[in-house]
Amino acid sequence: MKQRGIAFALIALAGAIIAVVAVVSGGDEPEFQTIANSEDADYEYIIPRGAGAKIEAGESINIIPAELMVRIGESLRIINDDDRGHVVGVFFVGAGETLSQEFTSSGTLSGGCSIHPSGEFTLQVLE
Amino acid sequence: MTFENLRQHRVWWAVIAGATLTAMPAGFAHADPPGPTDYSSVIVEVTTSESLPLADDVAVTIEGHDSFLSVTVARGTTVKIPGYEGEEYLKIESDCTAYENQRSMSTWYNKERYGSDFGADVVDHDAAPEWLQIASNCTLAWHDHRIHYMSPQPPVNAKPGDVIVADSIRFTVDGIPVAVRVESSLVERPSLLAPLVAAASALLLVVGVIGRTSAALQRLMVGASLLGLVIGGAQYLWAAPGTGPQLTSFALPSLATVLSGSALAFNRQSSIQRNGLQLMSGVFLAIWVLRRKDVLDAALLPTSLPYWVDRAGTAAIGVIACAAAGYALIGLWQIANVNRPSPRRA
Repeated sequence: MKQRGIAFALIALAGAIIAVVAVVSGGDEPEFQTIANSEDADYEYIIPRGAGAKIEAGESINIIPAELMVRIGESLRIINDDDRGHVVGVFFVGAGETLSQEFTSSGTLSGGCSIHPSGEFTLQVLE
Repeated sequence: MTFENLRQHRVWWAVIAGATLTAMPAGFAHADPPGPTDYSSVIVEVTTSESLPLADDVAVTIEGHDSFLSVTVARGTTVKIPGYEGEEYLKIESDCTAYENQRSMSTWYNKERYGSDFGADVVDHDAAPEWLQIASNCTLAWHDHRIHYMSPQPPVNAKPGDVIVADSIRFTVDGIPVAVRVESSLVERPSLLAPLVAAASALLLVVGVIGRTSAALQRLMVGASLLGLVIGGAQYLWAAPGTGPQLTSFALPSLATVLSGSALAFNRQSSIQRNGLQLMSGVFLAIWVLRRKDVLDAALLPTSLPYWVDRAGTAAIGVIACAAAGYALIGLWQIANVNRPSPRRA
């Protein structure tokens, strides 16, 4: 009887440790997919030429909000006319490139932003 | 308490220690240490005002591939590093002591690689600085978020070689303004061949020994734990001073070594102790693998070992740990069922 109790206790302990680790490792991140640049976008931002140089020189320019709240099915387009690549949260737009993304699941993502004075960009995708 | 009791309790203490280590946050007791990464940050230029030469005994380096910016000076030199909002943040005094302003937002924001805390309840850039001594070796290393990409998610639309981050970090050395220009590029991820081959080989090894004696799997588990200890130890030793090497990088494999070694010692005595110890050692080692799973496909690893050794070793250890834990679980389940009370007769 005692051995049975110990065996169950050990099995339960192992299960509890694995469950705690699984819960701690879980995340809630939105998903998105690339769409054609020719399609209309719900949110469009243009990074003008020279933006990166101005920011590096200490100038504060406001092109994109620090927090953007969108809904599933909406899309975001960033047109980079600058001579250098820029990061907007998890999106990278190379010099002279355009990025178009449609959001397919809900969640929140934060990351750096090379074109916002705060240096931060948070994207929240709602149902 | 008899020697036998002491030995049994020691095992339980080890289990409690392992559970505590497992629950320990990644950056416990230190700054968030360097981890596997896909970005390589390099200093492309160091300039001073009026083109004054930077003294030879001033070293500015990137530590942990893209994780920390580090400044080391000679005794007698002073350094002042402002925060993101120009506030007083870090300084090195002429006697080599280094301080951090607890009132600075940058102090809190730079605690972790991805900057999760702004320390809103203590930050006050208008108040007099509250200096806390953090080093005494003329060196400062901090998570400057201008030297690395700021999300655990890979950048959408970026290709290997793209410069993801480019910025300048400004500070003063003996009152002379210094600007360090840093660029961080995306590095191509490696092939998964080495970990896949290692995992398949480990699986074949497990299948080969599992039908033989119970000690054979325990010996394999001891070997896997020792390999984990070497890999974790190499990671711990690789981290530069001040960048917060993480105790759990080798503590969990150490504990797994003790537990699996004990399981081997209990092999002929008690099947419940043997299976219990093997289960716990397998679980702790599997969690260690889970916590460092990013080494399997990240481009740059925090280790002095060849990367393929780290990747292949981690994959093989993961397979062996899961197999050992699973085998022990079946053993415990059988013990529980054998000892099931028989139904009473009416």
